[in-house]
Amino acid sequence: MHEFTIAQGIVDFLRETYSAKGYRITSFKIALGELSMFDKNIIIDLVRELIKGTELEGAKFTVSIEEAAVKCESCNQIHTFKELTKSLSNDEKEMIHFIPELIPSFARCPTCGSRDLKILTGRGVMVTDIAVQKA
Amino acid sequence: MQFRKHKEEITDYRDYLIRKRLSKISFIVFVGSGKGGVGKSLVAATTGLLLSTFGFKAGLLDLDMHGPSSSMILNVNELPLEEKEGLSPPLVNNLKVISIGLFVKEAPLPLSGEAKREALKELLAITDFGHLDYLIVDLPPGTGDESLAAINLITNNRGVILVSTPSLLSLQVVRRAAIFFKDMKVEIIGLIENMVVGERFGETYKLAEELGVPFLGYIPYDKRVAYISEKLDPAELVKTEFAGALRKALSKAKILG
Repeated sequence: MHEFTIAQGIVDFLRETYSAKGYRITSFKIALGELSMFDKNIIIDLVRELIKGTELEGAKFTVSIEEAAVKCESCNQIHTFKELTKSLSNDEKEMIHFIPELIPSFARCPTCGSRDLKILTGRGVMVTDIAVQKA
Repeated sequence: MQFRKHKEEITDYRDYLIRKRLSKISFIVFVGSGKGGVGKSLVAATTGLLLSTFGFKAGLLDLDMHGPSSSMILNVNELPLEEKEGLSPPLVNNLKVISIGLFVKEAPLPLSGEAKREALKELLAITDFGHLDYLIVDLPPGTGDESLAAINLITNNRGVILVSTPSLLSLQVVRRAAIFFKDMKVEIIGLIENMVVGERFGETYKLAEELGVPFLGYIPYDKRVAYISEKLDPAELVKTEFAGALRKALSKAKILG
């Protein structure tokens, strides 16, 4: 699990993009794509720890899971994370955790068996609703 | 990963992480061809091995999303290690090797254009090469999504070595690739003519002259590596006739001293 890399990246990005330019971030939201299988609580703990003593200390943030929707381009069915991954091994799931686009390497459409799968939602990590004030 | 500023402007967080990682790499060498089957992956893998053998800090990134073969050439099977700063690539004779092939092994790779771009971005964002003198990037044949994505993500300190064979067909495709890289403002380090049998040279040097770029040399067809070096130890690979000729070409390109 590379939660630390992600959490550190979020904090570094916010500091260099906003704090270094004289903005104070008051709140932000983190959405974790279901396919990336990050541990929400670990991300919360890491971000909380990493912003301590920085310009971001005191900013409010929330972490939520964005549900995955994957469309089969062959039969047009849209599938959930559970439907696609229920028969996968932990090792296979770990590869999808690293690179969500690899899902068709390991999973097939539960309806027609095709591997022509397109991720519609829930692939990676997004930071949204960044509220800033001029420091 | 994306950032939305004030609910309107979206910035992809991975771009930031990629820039940070690439800033630790002194120079990036794309190895391309335009055409498949010219020995490009072998040139890329052996270039990486030669660099690490001569004491450079080097990495190899296999961007061929449909037929990743660099890791196979180098007999790499281990997954990258998860460390605090990201995924640490497995080592072959001190060469850091990363390939999508390490993640999927023998599973199919049915990636659409957009998925290839996303996968490349993710791979670059999570892989921690650390400080490198050279990163060798094995491009897929052609000038499609992977090449476009790589050129758009890797924007500084970069150049391309183009690999051709004596065949006229190969030369025509390499010409098209060379025009593409020139138009994309990627420095052409030089052209190599691979798979030369005896004295049957092609006209790659003429194409280099026409394009105004260096011709780096001929590489002979080497039976020892032609049947792909699945079983050829990397330490042996750098001692082959193929590697000797490639070494001269890299010296001419001032990549190897």
